[in-house]
Amino acid sequence: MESYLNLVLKAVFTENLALAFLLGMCTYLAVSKQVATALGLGLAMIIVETLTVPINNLIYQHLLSPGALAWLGLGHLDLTYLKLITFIGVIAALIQILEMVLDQYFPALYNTLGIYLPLLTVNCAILGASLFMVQRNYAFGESVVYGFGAGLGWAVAIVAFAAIRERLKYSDVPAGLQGLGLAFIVTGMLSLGFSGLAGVRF
Amino acid sequence: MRAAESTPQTLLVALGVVLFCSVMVSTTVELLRPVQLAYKQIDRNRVVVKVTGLASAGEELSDREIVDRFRELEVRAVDLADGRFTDAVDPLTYDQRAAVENPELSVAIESTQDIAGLGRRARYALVYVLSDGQSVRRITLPVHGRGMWSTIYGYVTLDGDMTTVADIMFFEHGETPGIGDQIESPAWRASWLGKLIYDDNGKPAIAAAPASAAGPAERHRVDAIAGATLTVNGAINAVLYWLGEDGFGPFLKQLRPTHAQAAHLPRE
Amino acid sequence: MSLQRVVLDPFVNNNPVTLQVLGVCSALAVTRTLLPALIMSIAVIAVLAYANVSVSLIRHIMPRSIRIIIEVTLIASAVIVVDEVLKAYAPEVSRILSVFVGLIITNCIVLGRTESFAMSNAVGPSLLDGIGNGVGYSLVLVFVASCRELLGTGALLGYPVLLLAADGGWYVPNLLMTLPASAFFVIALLIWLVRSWRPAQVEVPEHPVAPAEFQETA
Repeated sequence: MESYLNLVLKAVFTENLALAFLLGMCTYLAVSKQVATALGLGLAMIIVETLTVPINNLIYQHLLSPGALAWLGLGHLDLTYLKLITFIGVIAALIQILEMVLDQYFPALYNTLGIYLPLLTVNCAILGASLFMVQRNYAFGESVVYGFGAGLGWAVAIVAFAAIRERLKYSDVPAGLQGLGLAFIVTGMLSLGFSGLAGVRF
Repeated sequence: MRAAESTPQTLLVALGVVLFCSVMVSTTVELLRPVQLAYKQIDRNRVVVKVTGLASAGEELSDREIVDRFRELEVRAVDLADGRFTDAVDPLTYDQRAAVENPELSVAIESTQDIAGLGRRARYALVYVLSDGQSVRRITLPVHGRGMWSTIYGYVTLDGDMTTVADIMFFEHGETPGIGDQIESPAWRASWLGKLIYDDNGKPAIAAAPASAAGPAERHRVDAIAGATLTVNGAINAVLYWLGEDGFGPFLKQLRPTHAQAAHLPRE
Repeated sequence: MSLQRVVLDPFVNNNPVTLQVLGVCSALAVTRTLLPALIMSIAVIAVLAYANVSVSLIRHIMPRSIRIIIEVTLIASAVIVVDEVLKAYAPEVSRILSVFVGLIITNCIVLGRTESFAMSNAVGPSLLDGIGNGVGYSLVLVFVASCRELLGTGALLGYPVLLLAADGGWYVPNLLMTLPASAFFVIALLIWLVRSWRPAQVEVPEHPVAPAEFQETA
């Protein structure tokens, strides 16, 4: 078990979902023209990751992992192959519920975040974080920390990217690189910068 | 498109789709599981067969040959606390990685001891013994530890004197491609061969340094890899930890007096 | 649209990655070497074709209210099957691809094609559309992976192509190509290439540069 602080650092910087594993790129490229929207999306991402990773962790440990169903007398079952479909179901349902709860009780927050939530259902960074959680055998406590860190890392990446893009729109770019092409190059440079932090540890 | 919105129909379609999908998925999984398990077993043994020297360098073995040659090895479980062989776990089914997660089968490592950054280790470990009737010719020990990004897994094979490295292989890791993954390279592996793990005081003494550097004695020195210091240190620390007092140290100590050649013995 | 167009359009003219910005996510991480990229391509084509066909088959009885979740269920079970098959018959590659096979579920191309094409077209065209988009996506994947493996290791599919300096040849591998960042650079260059060839795809700048006569002299 690693210290929680290291886990967050790693999730935010060296193993950044967007910049090191290239996850969530569609949303990342599409919703990063302004810092304000990027901030909203980033916030939604942090909330959704912090909720889905631990919930999926509980489901995985107590229902799907080999021998987890021993309390039902079904200890010989290994349902790990169901994790893909279970996780995506949990994520979709959770986002829907979150939307309803926010709408009902926190209308102000809903107005800022609401439109981003549906975007996150099919965002691979969310499913990816849950799959990495399984692959790396995180315990429940670690999964909470990792979920938060992964969301924060993605948020940091998209806000930084949006800030650069806001400036870039005034620059004179070769026609073929205008828009998408340049966005990829800037992301690549951000990714290089983040990989420079490899090995930082407390 | 025709609207299909009534509740019964919605339920019916949902049920149909779910039934179809679940049958498809579970059939595939059930059909493929034996193939997957067999391959996993062979895949793991493939590395062991190579690192014990039962396959010559560069030889590609078929699955059948792997199974055959693996039979020449004796697989035993060792209780790391007292360094004795144990029957507490079945070597055929024992999974050391899973055991680390099980509080009954694992212990916490004191942070002063934990040079490999593991936190916990299993109580029991499997070793692969190649013997010629009476004495141990070679022994292969599993090691693992934190590298820069990931946990590095490997095997070390020692000669009968229990200190000379006969071979080493790091077969699983997630280190930087092109840089850290050179710990898999034949060149780096070669820099371990014939090196002595233990110094004159019986302490593990392997260290990395460039060939010309003044530093560790040549018999304990392995190559450094430019740009991959953290990965190399991770791999070396894994060996130092697992062959040290907290790992296989006590076990190897017991094997040494009866089977070792005195000339290679560090303390005699 | 003719059937031929359905298949061929997504290759260059309407490529899901370079023009529609879809499905970039799950796949770029597997482009460090060519072999995983090829396997990933086959997996995506299979899933796309299957998802399109199955959605098209039930499009007349599909209740609008739950259509997304039904599509996701169909896609997810196809991905599980692909994942299990890979684990059984290509375990080495499956280990390299790790979680990225699972992430085909959230590949926007798949859900995008079922929503926008298969829901309103017959089975035949849907199958072709799935294959076409899958191949269009694979072209990008294979191009990026070939560049990265060749320049990063001097080999293709593990076979040496450029003689390495370390082995007495002349080529010094460009280690940048083995880092995730290089995937972005290669795609950017690919987009530039495609858009120089097909200028119609060039995006209009939000703030065009003023003609020379209006520029202030500094």
